[in-house]
Amino acid sequence: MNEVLPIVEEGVALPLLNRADHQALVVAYNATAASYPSDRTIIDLFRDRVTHSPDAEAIRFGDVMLTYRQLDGRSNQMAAHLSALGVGPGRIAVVFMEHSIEVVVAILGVLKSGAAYVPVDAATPKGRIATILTDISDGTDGRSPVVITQARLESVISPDLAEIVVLDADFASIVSQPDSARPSAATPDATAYIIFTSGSTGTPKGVEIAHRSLVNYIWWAAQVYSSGERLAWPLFSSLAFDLTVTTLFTPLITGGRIVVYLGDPGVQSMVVLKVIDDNAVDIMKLTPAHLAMVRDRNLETTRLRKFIVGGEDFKTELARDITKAIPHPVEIYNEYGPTEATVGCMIHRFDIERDQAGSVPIGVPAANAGIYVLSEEYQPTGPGIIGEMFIAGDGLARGYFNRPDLTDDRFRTAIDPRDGFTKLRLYKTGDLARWSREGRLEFLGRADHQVKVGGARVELGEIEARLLKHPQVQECAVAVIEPSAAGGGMARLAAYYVSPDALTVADLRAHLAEELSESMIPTHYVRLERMPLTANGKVDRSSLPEPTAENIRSAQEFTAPATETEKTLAALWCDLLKVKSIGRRDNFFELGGESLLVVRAVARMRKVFGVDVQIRNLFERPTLSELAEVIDGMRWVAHSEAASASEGPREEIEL
Amino acid sequence: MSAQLIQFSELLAALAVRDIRLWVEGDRLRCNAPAGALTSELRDQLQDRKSEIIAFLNRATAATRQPAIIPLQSGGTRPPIYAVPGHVGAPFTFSDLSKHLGGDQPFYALQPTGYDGQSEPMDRVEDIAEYFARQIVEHQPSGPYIIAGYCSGAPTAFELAKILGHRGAEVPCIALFGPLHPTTYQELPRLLYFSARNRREAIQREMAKRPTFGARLQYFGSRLQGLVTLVRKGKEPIATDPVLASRARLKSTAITAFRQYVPGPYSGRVCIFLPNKAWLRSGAGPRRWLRAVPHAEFFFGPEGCHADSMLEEPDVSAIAALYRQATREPTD
Repeated sequence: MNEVLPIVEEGVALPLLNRADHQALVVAYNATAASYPSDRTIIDLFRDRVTHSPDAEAIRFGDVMLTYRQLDGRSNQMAAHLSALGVGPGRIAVVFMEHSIEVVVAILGVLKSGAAYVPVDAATPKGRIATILTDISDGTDGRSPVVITQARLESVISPDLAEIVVLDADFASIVSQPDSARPSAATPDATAYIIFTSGSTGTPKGVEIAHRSLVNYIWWAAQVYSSGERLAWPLFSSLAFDLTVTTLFTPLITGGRIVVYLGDPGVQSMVVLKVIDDNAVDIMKLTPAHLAMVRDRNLETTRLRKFIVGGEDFKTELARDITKAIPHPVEIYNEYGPTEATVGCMIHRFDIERDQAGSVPIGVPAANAGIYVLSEEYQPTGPGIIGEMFIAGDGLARGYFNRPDLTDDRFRTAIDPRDGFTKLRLYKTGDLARWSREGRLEFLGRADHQVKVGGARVELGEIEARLLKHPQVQECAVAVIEPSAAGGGMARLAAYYVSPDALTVADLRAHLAEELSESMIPTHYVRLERMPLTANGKVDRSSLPEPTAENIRSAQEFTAPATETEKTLAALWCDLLKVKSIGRRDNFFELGGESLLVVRAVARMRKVFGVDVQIRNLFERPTLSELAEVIDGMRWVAHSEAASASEGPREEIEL
Repeated sequence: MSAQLIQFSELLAALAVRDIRLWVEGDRLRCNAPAGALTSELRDQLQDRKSEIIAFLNRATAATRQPAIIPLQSGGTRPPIYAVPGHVGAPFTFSDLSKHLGGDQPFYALQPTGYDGQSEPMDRVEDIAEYFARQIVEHQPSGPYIIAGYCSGAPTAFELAKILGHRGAEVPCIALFGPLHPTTYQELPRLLYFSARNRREAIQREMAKRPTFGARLQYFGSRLQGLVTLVRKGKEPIATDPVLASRARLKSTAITAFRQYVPGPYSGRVCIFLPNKAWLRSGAGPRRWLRAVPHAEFFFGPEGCHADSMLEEPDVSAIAALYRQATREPTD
């Protein structure tokens, strides 16, 4: 089903926008038409550069380097080798390799052969690769894809699922191919690459990008970022992440240089620091999480002049810190765009004076892109109203590989909001945004980061932005802790932060409470040494630790249960609230005790301690030590009222 | 403080081992012990810490009293609010409202018998109200008391205010939030209308959140399937979990009590807070309260505020503002 969404009915006035806002936010904002070589492929543009400066350095890895002429020749040999194996237009070649000069040769070779490449990170687990290969096979009439790999990675690929080309083993055969240029078999409408991203169901989905979309993006990126300069770009981020597409192709069509970096096993995310310490590049594209790691490095003598930040919400504090840490002028760009819109479709250059909001704006649409903020009724929203972002333009993906249902769901045909009668293809991003009164688009994070806690709708991004304004908080993430099925209760918010010193919960709460409503104040606060990152350099939310009594407070605040009653009560609460340990000052309600959990807690306390604990007691004395004292008192009173079991004379006195 | 507390608990343990008992009579601390067990050393310690021990024992004794009074906000100078929750009796119903009314507004939720899973629920509104009245007076011997009720807790709140009033206590106001009139459950067509309308509105709200027609249709289908299952089985599944089972028993008994109650005339002030104006036609019978209280005052929440979430964030802020407006004193 791919219905035409009734964004604006012909002749009907827009209910949410007045005429001036409609003109400014919908029409003028999206006037992005710009010429680009839409009849050419990325290979054509690369060859132009080979002709223009054949002896310029194109790529370097350690001491090894190739000129443009050499890179072209090697990739011609690769293309010829692949063609001999039957790889050509309509085929798909998976590139499963570590960062190297050869991986760039392989990608160019695949594209020259007319096939599409699928970059797969070298650290991808066997099972996920098998899923991707099976998906490709299913989508190409059962024909096994070709996998280009290296000898040390070969064992990860099941030979039943693919035709395997082992680049280093087949080296002799490849170099025997002619290195002269043959006409590229690639065409503008053909697929250039397919990037598999995580699907919400857990099954990866392949986003199919055409050469024309790639050329549109890279042509624009070359103008904005390189501006006629020949810059050195580091190739260090995962090839399976579309952010890397910028680093791969922009230098190759502008006469720049790729400098390759390979991460150390197990500490892949640290490769970004290698790039900084090596000090051999001028421009760097990275995620905010990676940039946060850079901040702690000495940047006094860095040659870096430009940063392109993308992939996640980019906090202003971080941009400000980087600007201040580098003595010479730096350009910092926030580039927004989902994989489905070819890497980036919006851009903002950070301005330390002007940009004062929590997040760096995502700015304005890139060349030939359209950005619309629509309500749940698919109508353009006015200033101050939160809506979902939809993207149009030449960068839109062909769709999801072999997933027509999903493609129909996310790529919609709509009445063009600009004129109200023509049709327009839109991608539904799942990202939330709103227009400011000044006509600036504010990014508010993922729609699925909008959660309901205690009945209130909460934007996690808004909490994170406020938390980052705390002078000691360097990085943070806020997550929802769902209640257990058996325990009942309600969802709770947990804030994770990185700071040089331990902060008190009271301090953090007070800081948040200055701007946020009560429902947006997290229950738990967890200090981390560093944020867990995915291979793509984004915050790995699935790896954020479960809050426990040890990690939700700084060491000086935690006091272990002391008396027997406190210890027993702590064990009981731990079991009920699903936390690992509880201190004397921990508050039952702040640990998530709510609703059914209160009733369950009281029932268990009555059973364990043999006294008539009331729900009221928990409300009046909610900390562990306070309630333990009440229980001790109740037990003492019960003991004093009970008949004595001991025999013999007794004495009664007044003290 | 920690060390002192540990020592105190050690002292109690030492007394227990020797079968020494302590209790408080007025301001006196009395002791009963096997002959010779109370050594001079122990006696000195007890005498040194006499006031501490008396306070400890008094706190322990007080902790078992008035189990129905759940303090959501104990401090403040305004007339305290005692609030009856809806038929599942959850004191948390009023947590957000109490927060919004601020630190100067004492607020107590009333917990019915049966909610803790230990006591038996009561099946007459008059009995529940009497139970609450007794504990309120024990807790706060004289008024003023503001009595509040939410949803099906409204009749109990109404009866409770009448009982307190008959006994001479000052009840400046009964505040009913989204009240259900008992006739809602007494007249089958009204009940069916009320339930169907509520269910329809809830489904519409959820469907409106879905971005596509397909997603809305899917949600509608899932709700329809749930309804068919419920109708086929004829009743809700029996809970095997003791806490859930006791809650189901409380709900059922509370509905029985609610259904049987007939509100009698009342001359005091009654403020009825409805989620929105449309609620007048909801089947909850808000205008029927005028039969018992012709002078009842109505206050309406904003459009888009719903009865089931009117005391929760974010709707609760508007309702709290209405309450403050309704109960504003001339000096405020």
